[in-house]
Amino acid sequence: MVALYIITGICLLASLIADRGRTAEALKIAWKRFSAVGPYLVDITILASVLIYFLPAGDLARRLSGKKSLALGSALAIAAGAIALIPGLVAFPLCGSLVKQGVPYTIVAGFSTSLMMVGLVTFPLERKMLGTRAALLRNAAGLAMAVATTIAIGIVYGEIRP
Amino acid sequence: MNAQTRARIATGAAFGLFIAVSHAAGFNPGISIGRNARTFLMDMIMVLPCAFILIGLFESWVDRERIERHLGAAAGIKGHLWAIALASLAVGGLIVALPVGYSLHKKGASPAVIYTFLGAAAVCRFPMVLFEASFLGIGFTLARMAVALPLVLVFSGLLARLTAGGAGLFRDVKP
Repeated sequence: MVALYIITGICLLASLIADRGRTAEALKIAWKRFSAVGPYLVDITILASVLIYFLPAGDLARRLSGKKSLALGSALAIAAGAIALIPGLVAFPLCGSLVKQGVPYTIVAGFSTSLMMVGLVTFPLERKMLGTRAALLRNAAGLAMAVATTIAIGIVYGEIRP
Repeated sequence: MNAQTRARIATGAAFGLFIAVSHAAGFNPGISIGRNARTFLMDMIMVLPCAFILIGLFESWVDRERIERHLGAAAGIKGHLWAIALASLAVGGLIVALPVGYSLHKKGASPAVIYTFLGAAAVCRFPMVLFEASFLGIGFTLARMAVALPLVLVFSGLLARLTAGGAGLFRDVKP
Protein backbone atom coordinates (compact mmCIF):
# COMPACT_ATOMS: atom_id res chain seq x y z
CA MET A 1 0.00 0.00 0.00
CA VAL A 2 2.85 2.35 0.89
CA ALA A 3 4.55 1.39 -2.36
CA LEU A 4 1.42 2.41 -4.26
CA TYR A 5 1.49 5.88 -2.70
CA ILE A 6 5.22 6.27 -3.35
CA ILE A 7 4.86 5.21 -6.98
CA THR A 8 1.88 7.50 -7.53
CA GLY A 9 3.72 10.38 -5.83
CA ILE A 10 6.81 9.93 -7.98
CA CYS A 11 4.77 9.71 -11.21
CA LEU A 12 2.74 12.77 -10.29
CA LEU A 13 5.84 14.76 -9.37
CA ALA A 14 7.67 13.75 -12.55
CA SER A 15 4.62 14.73 -14.58
CA LEU A 16 4.37 18.10 -12.82
CA ILE A 17 8.01 18.86 -13.51
CA ALA A 18 7.74 17.78 -17.13
CA ASP A 19 4.50 19.53 -18.05
CA ARG A 20 2.12 21.39 -15.81
CA GLY A 21 -0.71 21.58 -18.35
CA ARG A 22 -0.62 17.87 -19.02
CA THR A 23 -0.65 17.10 -15.32
CA ALA A 24 -3.72 19.27 -14.84
CA GLU A 25 -5.32 17.43 -17.73
CA ALA A 26 -4.38 14.09 -16.13
CA LEU A 27 -6.06 15.06 -12.87
CA LYS A 28 -9.13 16.16 -14.75
CA ILE A 29 -9.27 12.77 -16.49
CA ALA A 30 -8.72 11.04 -13.13
CA TRP A 31 -11.76 12.81 -11.70
CA LYS A 32 -13.86 12.07 -14.77
CA ARG A 33 -13.01 8.36 -14.68
CA PHE A 34 -13.74 8.23 -10.99
CA SER A 35 -17.09 9.93 -11.36
CA ALA A 36 -18.19 7.20 -13.81
CA VAL A 37 -17.53 4.58 -11.14
CA GLY A 38 -18.02 6.48 -7.88
CA PRO A 39 -21.82 6.31 -7.67
CA TYR A 40 -21.68 2.53 -7.97
CA LEU A 41 -19.44 2.44 -4.92
CA VAL A 42 -22.49 3.27 -2.79
CA ASP A 43 -24.48 0.30 -4.11
CA ILE A 44 -21.50 -2.01 -4.05
CA THR A 45 -20.56 -1.14 -0.47
CA ILE A 46 -24.11 -1.61 0.81
CA LEU A 47 -24.70 -4.84 -1.09
CA ALA A 48 -21.32 -6.31 -0.20
CA SER A 49 -21.61 -5.53 3.50
CA VAL A 50 -25.17 -6.84 3.79
CA LEU A 51 -24.36 -10.00 1.81
CA ILE A 52 -21.30 -10.79 3.92
CA TYR A 53 -23.50 -10.53 6.98
CA PHE A 54 -26.08 -12.98 5.70
CA LEU A 55 -23.52 -15.20 4.08
CA PRO A 56 -20.56 -15.49 6.42
CA ALA A 57 -18.24 -17.23 4.02
CA GLY A 58 -16.06 -18.86 6.66
CA ASP A 59 -18.98 -20.30 8.50
CA LEU A 60 -20.52 -21.57 5.30
CA ALA A 61 -17.36 -23.22 4.03
CA ARG A 62 -16.81 -24.84 7.43
CA ARG A 63 -20.25 -26.36 7.26
CA LEU A 64 -19.69 -27.44 3.67
CA SER A 65 -16.56 -29.32 4.56
CA GLY A 66 -18.54 -32.08 6.27
CA LYS A 67 -17.37 -35.31 4.71
CA LYS A 68 -20.52 -35.81 2.69
CA SER A 69 -19.81 -34.54 -0.76
CA LEU A 70 -16.80 -32.68 -2.06
CA ALA A 71 -18.65 -31.84 -5.25
CA LEU A 72 -21.61 -30.31 -3.44
CA GLY A 73 -19.34 -28.45 -1.03
CA SER A 74 -17.29 -27.05 -3.88
CA ALA A 75 -20.36 -26.04 -5.86
CA LEU A 76 -21.74 -24.14 -2.88
CA ALA A 77 -18.35 -22.57 -2.22
CA ILE A 78 -18.21 -21.40 -5.84
CA ALA A 79 -21.71 -19.95 -5.52
CA ALA A 80 -20.77 -18.16 -2.29
CA GLY A 81 -17.64 -16.74 -3.92
CA ALA A 82 -19.60 -15.51 -6.91
CA ILE A 83 -22.10 -13.68 -4.72
CA ALA A 84 -19.69 -12.22 -2.18
CA LEU A 85 -17.28 -9.36 -2.71
CA ILE A 86 -14.51 -9.45 -0.15
CA PRO A 87 -11.16 -7.65 -0.44
CA GLY A 88 -8.22 -10.02 -0.85
CA LEU A 89 -6.74 -8.67 2.37
CA VAL A 90 -9.67 -10.22 4.23
CA ALA A 91 -10.39 -13.20 1.99
CA PHE A 92 -7.00 -14.92 1.93
CA PRO A 93 -6.40 -14.96 5.68
CA LEU A 94 -9.89 -16.47 5.90
CA CYS A 95 -8.97 -19.11 3.30
CA GLY A 96 -5.76 -19.83 5.18
CA SER A 97 -7.61 -20.42 8.42
CA LEU A 98 -10.12 -22.67 6.64
CA VAL A 99 -7.33 -24.87 5.32
CA LYS A 100 -5.83 -25.06 8.81
CA GLN A 101 -9.19 -26.23 10.11
CA GLY A 102 -9.15 -29.07 7.64
CA VAL A 103 -11.42 -27.69 4.92
CA PRO A 104 -10.33 -29.37 1.64
CA TYR A 105 -8.21 -27.29 -0.73
CA THR A 106 -10.78 -27.93 -3.45
CA ILE A 107 -13.48 -26.10 -1.52
CA VAL A 108 -11.18 -23.24 -0.58
CA ALA A 109 -10.10 -22.93 -4.22
CA GLY A 110 -13.73 -22.87 -5.34
CA PHE A 111 -14.47 -20.03 -3.01
CA SER A 112 -11.34 -17.95 -3.67
CA THR A 113 -11.29 -18.35 -7.45
CA SER A 114 -14.94 -17.55 -8.00
CA LEU A 115 -14.61 -14.67 -5.54
CA MET A 116 -12.01 -13.15 -7.84
CA MET A 117 -13.44 -14.14 -11.23
CA VAL A 118 -17.20 -13.76 -10.86
CA GLY A 119 -18.84 -10.66 -9.42
CA LEU A 120 -22.54 -10.50 -8.76
CA VAL A 121 -22.24 -7.37 -6.66
CA THR A 122 -20.14 -5.53 -9.22
CA PHE A 123 -22.35 -6.70 -12.08
CA PRO A 124 -24.36 -3.45 -12.42
CA LEU A 125 -21.12 -1.49 -12.81
CA GLU A 126 -19.74 -4.00 -15.27
CA ARG A 127 -22.96 -3.94 -17.22
CA LYS A 128 -22.83 -0.18 -17.49
CA MET A 129 -19.22 -0.22 -18.66
CA LEU A 130 -19.19 -3.23 -21.01
CA GLY A 131 -22.83 -3.59 -21.99
CA THR A 132 -25.26 -6.30 -20.86
CA ARG A 133 -24.19 -9.01 -23.25
CA ALA A 134 -20.47 -8.64 -22.68
CA ALA A 135 -20.90 -8.42 -18.90
CA LEU A 136 -23.07 -11.55 -18.83
CA LEU A 137 -20.74 -13.53 -21.06
CA ARG A 138 -17.68 -12.38 -19.13
CA ASN A 139 -19.15 -13.54 -15.82
CA ALA A 140 -20.26 -16.83 -17.35
CA ALA A 141 -16.71 -17.33 -18.60
CA GLY A 142 -15.42 -16.43 -15.14
CA LEU A 143 -17.66 -19.07 -13.63
CA ALA A 144 -16.49 -21.70 -16.10
CA MET A 145 -12.87 -20.81 -15.36
CA ALA A 146 -13.49 -20.95 -11.61
CA VAL A 147 -15.00 -24.44 -11.94
CA ALA A 148 -12.11 -25.67 -14.09
CA THR A 149 -9.53 -24.20 -11.73
CA THR A 150 -11.26 -25.72 -8.70
CA ILE A 151 -11.23 -29.18 -10.26
CA ALA A 152 -7.57 -28.76 -11.21
CA ILE A 153 -6.64 -27.77 -7.65
CA GLY A 154 -8.58 -30.79 -6.38
CA ILE A 155 -6.54 -33.07 -8.63
CA VAL A 156 -3.22 -31.41 -7.72
CA TYR A 157 -3.92 -31.88 -4.00
CA GLY A 158 -5.13 -35.45 -4.47
CA GLU A 159 -8.63 -34.67 -3.22
CA ILE A 160 -10.19 -35.53 -6.58
CA ARG A 161 -9.04 -38.73 -8.22
CA PRO A 162 -9.62 -38.65 -11.94
CA MET B 1 -28.09 16.21 -10.44
CA ASN B 2 -30.37 13.63 -12.02
CA ALA B 3 -32.95 11.41 -10.35
CA GLN B 4 -30.62 8.44 -10.28
CA THR B 5 -27.94 10.35 -8.40
CA ARG B 6 -30.51 11.64 -5.93
CA ALA B 7 -31.82 8.12 -5.36
CA ARG B 8 -28.29 6.94 -4.74
CA ILE B 9 -27.57 9.68 -2.23
CA ALA B 10 -30.83 8.86 -0.49
CA THR B 11 -29.92 5.17 -0.38
CA GLY B 12 -26.48 5.93 1.00
CA ALA B 13 -27.94 8.27 3.63
CA ALA B 14 -30.59 5.72 4.63
CA PHE B 15 -27.91 3.08 4.99
CA GLY B 16 -25.77 5.41 7.12
CA LEU B 17 -28.77 6.19 9.29
CA PHE B 18 -29.53 2.48 9.69
CA ILE B 19 -25.96 1.88 10.89
CA ALA B 20 -26.10 4.86 13.27
CA VAL B 21 -29.45 3.78 14.74
CA SER B 22 -28.17 0.21 15.06
CA HIS B 23 -25.23 1.47 17.10
CA ALA B 24 -27.47 3.60 19.28
CA ALA B 25 -29.97 0.80 19.85
CA GLY B 26 -27.38 -1.98 20.12
CA PHE B 27 -28.87 -3.83 17.13
CA ASN B 28 -26.10 -6.37 16.47
CA PRO B 29 -26.79 -7.24 12.81
CA GLY B 30 -26.69 -3.53 11.95
CA ILE B 31 -23.44 -3.03 13.83
CA SER B 32 -21.92 -6.02 12.07
CA ILE B 33 -23.05 -4.82 8.65
CA GLY B 34 -21.62 -1.39 9.47
CA ARG B 35 -18.28 -2.98 10.31
CA ASN B 36 -18.31 -4.85 6.98
CA ALA B 37 -19.09 -1.65 5.12
CA ARG B 38 -16.29 0.21 6.88
CA THR B 39 -13.71 -2.50 6.09
CA PHE B 40 -14.74 -2.53 2.47
CA LEU B 41 -14.94 1.23 2.07
CA MET B 42 -11.60 1.87 3.81
CA ASP B 43 -9.97 -0.60 1.47
CA MET B 44 -11.37 1.31 -1.50
CA ILE B 45 -10.62 4.78 -0.12
CA MET B 46 -6.98 3.82 0.39
CA VAL B 47 -6.55 2.52 -3.14
CA LEU B 48 -8.82 4.61 -5.36
CA PRO B 49 -7.10 8.04 -5.28
CA CYS B 50 -3.78 6.55 -6.39
CA ALA B 51 -5.42 4.27 -8.93
CA PHE B 52 -7.36 7.04 -10.64
CA ILE B 53 -4.43 9.49 -10.61
CA LEU B 54 -2.36 6.81 -12.35
CA ILE B 55 -5.18 6.27 -14.86
CA GLY B 56 -5.24 10.02 -15.55
CA LEU B 57 -1.47 10.19 -16.01
CA PHE B 58 -1.61 7.16 -18.28
CA GLU B 59 -4.24 8.74 -20.51
CA SER B 60 -2.53 12.11 -20.76
CA TRP B 61 1.03 10.87 -21.31
CA VAL B 62 0.80 7.64 -23.29
CA ASP B 63 0.02 8.26 -26.92
CA ARG B 64 -2.59 6.32 -28.74
CA GLU B 65 -0.29 5.14 -31.45
CA ARG B 66 1.90 3.24 -29.00
CA ILE B 67 -0.98 1.41 -27.32
CA GLU B 68 -2.53 0.62 -30.68
CA ARG B 69 0.72 -0.90 -31.88
CA HIS B 70 1.32 -3.04 -28.78
CA LEU B 71 -2.23 -3.84 -27.63
CA GLY B 72 -4.25 -3.39 -30.80
CA ALA B 73 -5.81 -6.01 -33.01
CA ALA B 74 -2.61 -6.45 -35.01
CA ALA B 75 -0.38 -7.01 -31.98
CA GLY B 76 -1.19 -10.73 -31.73
CA ILE B 77 -0.19 -12.77 -28.70
CA LYS B 78 2.29 -10.09 -27.62
CA GLY B 79 -0.61 -7.75 -26.94
CA HIS B 80 -2.11 -10.32 -24.60
CA LEU B 81 1.20 -10.78 -22.79
CA TRP B 82 1.41 -7.01 -22.28
CA ALA B 83 -2.13 -7.04 -20.93
CA ILE B 84 -1.23 -9.79 -18.44
CA ALA B 85 1.88 -7.87 -17.34
CA LEU B 86 -0.21 -4.74 -16.87
CA ALA B 87 -2.91 -6.65 -15.01
CA SER B 88 -0.40 -8.12 -12.59
CA LEU B 89 0.36 -4.57 -11.47
CA ALA B 90 -3.30 -3.69 -11.02
CA VAL B 91 -4.82 -2.80 -7.66
CA GLY B 92 -8.34 -2.64 -6.28
CA GLY B 93 -10.19 -5.27 -8.25
CA LEU B 94 -12.81 -4.72 -10.91
CA ILE B 95 -13.73 -1.27 -9.63
CA VAL B 96 -10.34 -0.10 -10.86
CA ALA B 97 -9.79 -2.64 -13.65
CA LEU B 98 -12.90 -1.55 -15.59
CA PRO B 99 -11.84 2.13 -15.83
CA VAL B 100 -8.35 1.00 -16.82
CA GLY B 101 -9.95 -1.19 -19.49
CA TYR B 102 -11.82 1.86 -20.70
CA SER B 103 -8.58 3.87 -20.94
CA LEU B 104 -6.98 1.04 -22.91
CA HIS B 105 -10.02 0.89 -25.16
CA LYS B 106 -9.81 4.63 -25.81
CA LYS B 107 -6.16 4.28 -26.72
CA GLY B 108 -6.93 1.59 -29.28
CA ALA B 109 -6.47 -1.74 -27.48
CA SER B 110 -8.48 -4.57 -29.05
CA PRO B 111 -11.51 -6.09 -27.26
CA ALA B 112 -9.75 -9.46 -26.89
CA VAL B 113 -6.79 -7.78 -25.21
CA ILE B 114 -9.16 -5.90 -22.88
CA TYR B 115 -10.87 -9.17 -21.93
CA THR B 116 -7.45 -10.65 -21.22
CA PHE B 117 -6.61 -7.65 -19.07
CA LEU B 118 -9.86 -7.90 -17.07
CA GLY B 119 -9.50 -11.66 -16.66
CA ALA B 120 -5.84 -11.50 -15.72
CA ALA B 121 -6.57 -8.75 -13.19
CA ALA B 122 -8.70 -11.33 -11.38
CA VAL B 123 -6.09 -14.07 -11.69
CA CYS B 124 -2.65 -12.58 -11.13
CA ARG B 125 -2.76 -9.18 -9.46
CA PHE B 126 0.60 -9.07 -7.74
CA PRO B 127 -0.45 -7.91 -4.24
CA MET B 128 -3.23 -10.48 -4.24
CA VAL B 129 -0.95 -13.29 -5.40
CA LEU B 130 1.56 -12.50 -2.64
CA PHE B 131 -1.20 -12.66 -0.09
CA GLU B 132 -2.60 -15.88 -1.46
CA ALA B 133 0.82 -17.56 -1.53
CA SER B 134 1.57 -16.58 2.04
CA PHE B 135 -1.72 -17.99 3.36
CA LEU B 136 -2.30 -20.97 1.08
CA GLY B 137 1.23 -21.83 -0.02
CA ILE B 138 3.16 -21.05 -3.18
CA GLY B 139 2.17 -24.43 -4.65
CA PHE B 140 -1.50 -23.53 -4.51
CA THR B 141 -0.87 -20.20 -6.21
CA LEU B 142 1.31 -21.67 -8.96
CA ALA B 143 -1.15 -24.49 -9.69
CA ARG B 144 -4.06 -22.04 -9.81
CA MET B 145 -2.30 -19.64 -12.14
CA ALA B 146 -1.00 -22.42 -14.38
CA VAL B 147 -4.61 -23.43 -15.03
CA ALA B 148 -6.36 -20.07 -14.93
CA LEU B 149 -4.06 -17.94 -17.08
CA PRO B 150 -4.23 -20.09 -20.24
CA LEU B 151 -8.00 -20.25 -19.74
CA VAL B 152 -8.16 -16.46 -19.60
CA LEU B 153 -6.39 -16.33 -22.98
CA VAL B 154 -8.73 -18.90 -24.53
CA PHE B 155 -11.83 -17.21 -23.19
CA SER B 156 -10.77 -13.69 -24.17
CA GLY B 157 -10.60 -14.75 -27.80
CA LEU B 158 -13.96 -16.45 -27.50
CA LEU B 159 -15.57 -13.48 -25.73
CA ALA B 160 -14.25 -11.07 -28.34
CA ARG B 161 -15.79 -13.20 -31.07
CA LEU B 162 -19.12 -13.59 -29.26
CA THR B 163 -19.48 -9.85 -28.65
CA ALA B 164 -18.09 -8.70 -31.98
CA GLY B 165 -21.49 -7.99 -33.51
CA GLY B 166 -22.81 -5.47 -31.00
CA ALA B 167 -22.20 -1.78 -30.53
CA GLY B 168 -18.90 -2.56 -28.81
CA LEU B 169 -17.47 -2.27 -25.33
CA PHE B 170 -17.81 0.91 -23.29
CA ARG B 171 -20.36 2.43 -25.63
CA ASP B 172 -22.39 3.98 -22.78
CA VAL B 173 -19.44 5.54 -21.00
CA LYS B 174 -19.15 9.27 -21.55
CA PRO B 175 -15.68 10.17 -22.87
